[in-house]
This record gives sequence, C-alpha cells and structure tokens, in this order.
Amino acid sequence: MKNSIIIRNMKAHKGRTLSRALLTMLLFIVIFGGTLAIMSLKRGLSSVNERFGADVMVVSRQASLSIDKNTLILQGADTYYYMDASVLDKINTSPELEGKIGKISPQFYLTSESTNLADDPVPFIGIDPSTDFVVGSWIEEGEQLSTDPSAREIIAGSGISLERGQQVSFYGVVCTVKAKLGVTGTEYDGSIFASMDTINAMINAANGSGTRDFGNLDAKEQISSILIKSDEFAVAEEITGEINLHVRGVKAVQAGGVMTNLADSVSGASTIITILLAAAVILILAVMAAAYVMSTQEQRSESALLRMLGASRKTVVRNVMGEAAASSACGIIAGAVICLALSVPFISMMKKWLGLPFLMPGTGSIAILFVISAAAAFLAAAAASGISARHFNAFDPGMELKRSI
Amino acid sequence: MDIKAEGIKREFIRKMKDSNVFEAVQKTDFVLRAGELTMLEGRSGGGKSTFMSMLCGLLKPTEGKVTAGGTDLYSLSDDELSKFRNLHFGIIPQVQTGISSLTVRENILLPYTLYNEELPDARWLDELLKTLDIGNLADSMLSELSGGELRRMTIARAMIRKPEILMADEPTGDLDDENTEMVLQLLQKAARAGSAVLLVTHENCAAGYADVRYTMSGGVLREV
Repeated sequence: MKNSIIIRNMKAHKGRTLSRALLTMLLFIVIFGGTLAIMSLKRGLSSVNERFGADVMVVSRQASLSIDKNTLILQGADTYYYMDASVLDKINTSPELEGKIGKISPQFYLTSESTNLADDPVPFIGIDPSTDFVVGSWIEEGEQLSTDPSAREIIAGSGISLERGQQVSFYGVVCTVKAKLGVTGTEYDGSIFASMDTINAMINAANGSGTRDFGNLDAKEQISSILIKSDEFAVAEEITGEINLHVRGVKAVQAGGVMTNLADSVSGASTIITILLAAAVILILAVMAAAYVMSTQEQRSESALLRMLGASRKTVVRNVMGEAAASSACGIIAGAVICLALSVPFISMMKKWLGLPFLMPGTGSIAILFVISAAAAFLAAAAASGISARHFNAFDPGMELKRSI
Repeated sequence: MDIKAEGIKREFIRKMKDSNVFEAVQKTDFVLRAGELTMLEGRSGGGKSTFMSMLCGLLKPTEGKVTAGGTDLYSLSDDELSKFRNLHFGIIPQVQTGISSLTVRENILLPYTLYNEELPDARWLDELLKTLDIGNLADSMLSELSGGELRRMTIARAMIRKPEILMADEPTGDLDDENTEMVLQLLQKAARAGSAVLLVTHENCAAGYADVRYTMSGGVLREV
C-alpha cells in the first residue's frame, strides 16, 4: 500500500510529477551532454596529438601565409598551394638535418569533391605508401596501400560509406577500397587516401574526360605538405629552424606549437563549456530546490494525516522521498532517451560549431559517464527532496492539519 | 483503556510583548476514562487542540507525562508510538482531510493498509458507511465529495478499527443538525462499547451526550 500511495500520488499530482521529472531530466542532460562534450574535445586533441606527436609540418610559404596553421593540420585537405617535390629531397639530404629526421612523408591534397559517399565534400589526399606514417597508423580494417605504381587502391576515412574490398570509380578510375580508417575525430574521417600514382591517374582521367580540369598538376612532381617525425634524440624546434633557414620557399611549422595553440583552443572551449555547464547546473539545482520545497508543502497535510493515522516519521519521509525518487527516475530515463536520440546530431553540431577535433569516448567511458550523470541527477533530486522532508520530523501533525486546508 | 495526563504543560516560542514563551496549555492533570464520553469546550485559541495533540502522542508536552493503559507514550520510540497510535487511537481532526489520490474506501482503510494488515470484515465497513450515510460513495474520489460527506469519511476512518481511544476535534462543525445528531450518537455508542471518547466541540447539543464536561480557556482546564 505504501508503494501504491506513491504511484497513485504521482498519477494524481501530474504537475508535481512532471515538473520534478523535467528538472531531473534537464540536470541529467546538462551533466551528461556537457561532460561528454568536454571529454570528446580532450579526446579529439589527444587523437591529433597522437597523430602528430612532437613533429614538424612543412608547407609552401604561400600556404603558410594564407591558411590557419590549425586548419592546415586538421583540415589539410583544402590546401591548393603546392611546392616542388624536390623540397623533400632537399630536406632529406640537408647536412644540417642529418640524423635528426626519423620519418618523413609527403602528402598531396588534390581536391574536395561532392559525392554520394558522405554528406560533406570528400577530400582526395595523395600519400606515399612507402614512407607514410600518419594515415597508416589509423587503419582499422585492411592494410596500407600497395607501392605498385599500377595498383589502383584507396583508403577510406571512417565517415566514408565504403566498405573494405568494394570497388568505386573516381573520374573513371576504378579503385579498390584497400583499408578503412578508425575514427580520428578530424577531417581524416571524411577523406579518401590514394597513392600519388593513383592520384595522378585520377588527374589524367579527369583532364582527359573533361570532368574536371586539374591543369598540369602532378602528384609526383608537386606536393602540398611534408610531415616529419623527428629522430628520438633531435629536437623538433631545431628541425623547424634549420628548414626555415636553409630551404627556400617553404615554411616549417612545429607541430608542438600548433598543438599548443590547439590545446589552448580546446582548453578555452572546454573552459567555456565548463562555466556554462556549472551555471546551468547551479540554476537547475536552485530551481529544483525551490520546486521541491514548494511541492512538498502540498504534501505536508497528507504527511500530517499519515502521522495521525499512525505512520512513523520514517514512513512519511520514505513516502516523500519515494515519490521524488520515482519522478526523478522517470526524468533520468527520459533524459537518457533524448541523449541517445540526439547524440549523432550533437556531435556533428559541436564539430561544426567549435571547429576543433571532437572525438567521442569509447562505449565503456560513455556508460560510466551515463551512470555517474544519472547518479548525480538522482542524488541532487534526493537532496532537494530530503531538505524538504527533513522538516516533517519537526512539525506537529495536529497543528499542521488545523491550518492545512 | 484510560488515558492519564500527569502535570502536562506545553509551551511554544512566540514573539510577544512581555515574554517570548507562550504557554498554550498550563500544567494540567487529566484522566480520560474508558466507557465515557468526555466533552471539552472552550473558545478558539484556548489550547484545546494542543491538549488533544499531547493526549494522542502527536505533540510532546514540555513537562509531564501521558500514559495510555499504563504505557508512557513519550517514552516510546517514534516507531513504537506510531504503531501504538495506529492500533489504539482513532482521531477525527478539525479539518476534513484525506489522501486525494485514493478512493473513499481506500482512505477509510488506511489505518490497516498503512501497516499492510489484514482488512476488517467487509460487513463492518459497509455498516459504518451505511450508518454515516456514505454507503454509495465508497468508490468515489475525495474531490467528488461535499464537505459534509468528507467529514463523515474522516469519522468512518477514525472508527474503522473500533479504537479503544477516540478523539474528535469539532467533528460536527460542518454538518447539518440531522447528521450532527447521528455523529454524536455514534460517538456515544462507541463510549458505551468501552472506548474512551474525547469530544472537543462548540455544539451545545453535544452536552446531552457527554458523561463528563470540561472547559479550557487560556490553557487552563476546568471540570464543569
């Protein structure tokens, strides 16, 4: 019967039940969604950091002047400034850099093309499979591209709707999907990678068929960027300095510096989100406390009656808390459904809005966050109702009944 | 079961001109005897409800003790006292109140369902409802009742257990003459059946039903 009263009261006092459930739902969504956003930003940063380490990126001077360095790293595909491929040899053979470069690999950004493979235009990026250490490290299914010049293979980013082994034609060049990348949280998710030979085949096919005019672009002769992983003992700053000093027409950017800028942006964004989150949580808690105190007043006469009929203080408090707990549980369930339904558009919106790497944590971490957020929202509701219920221990039911109606 | 109050008084903290301590009930000795209908009269604010609250274990006296059938009520734990009140007391409060989400029948049976006890014989419930003229309202919600019907529901709820102690705080305040007579007869019948009945009332006609009469004014109790 005790539980029956709780359920019957919840049904009878719909306004009270709904307002409590709504507030708990909002609190859950704010805690869960906000923390998820912060975690995703930090994970995105970590993924970019992992990709670039303490390395160096070399681009043409024109590109470095006209493009945001952060964008270059995160959205490098949209770079249409090229440098001569011989820069790669110059760096490789520079006596000043001898023994300092661990790995070095060029990239060629061809174009971004609207396709039916993804919602946004898909960047086509040329890589050198024999030296690549960036794209290959993200392969989740499949293998690195073949070094055979006649092989027509591609690697698809995680957001591209192509499966491993599938064949697809670009400008009339039929390619096989050799591998698929894992989620990086960057523009790589929506990109397609091919060898320089395959990129050249696409350029020639597009020029030949008139589908696109790439002019005299040649992925073997021109490159967009050079990614360098420094030798274990060398300092990236030294490499950057040496390249900027001795190699003309290019600009070396220390990835560490870029990472610091990026980290600052992520830190700034996460600080703003944290502040907004804290403000929202405080506001919701205040409204929740007020709502509970007001709605618990309604319950005072009912509680006084139960005391008069022989219910103990414990029973009365359990009734009040039980009703609050049941309403809160409904709110948390509703919040969870909304969070699940909105998670995909939420990620997409955050990526676009913040322009920063955004990578959702793994399922395990999300599950833990879910439990913690649900517990926090539930405890907040319990505390708000407990503060109100505490007064029931002190009041005189006789007097309460006298003035209640 | 008799109720015995020994030297009970009740003070409240209240901001006043001379003192911050308001003595709602002055030091009082009192016995509510089984088998008697005891009537308590007095003007509003005289301390009657406070006195009644102390007698039924709802409000601890500032001084003194209350025993019911030899049990010192305020020496019991809250759980024990609550259960004791549930088993031995029937209380009709001054206001009409019930759990609005429950039906009339469910409200009346609350003293049983509160402790998940076996329900009383349905014939007794029907008889009580019929006597109080709310037999056709058993499955109605409280919001559908008139003030008088609600009042009679609270009386039925207080009497459903056939309590040894019955306390009624102005139970006929909003009833017509006919229903007032019926309720007074019912209380008298309960006293004749062995209950100790305390009736707080302004009704002059109630005096005819009372075995003992008291007045209370300014927190002082006097036998009439």
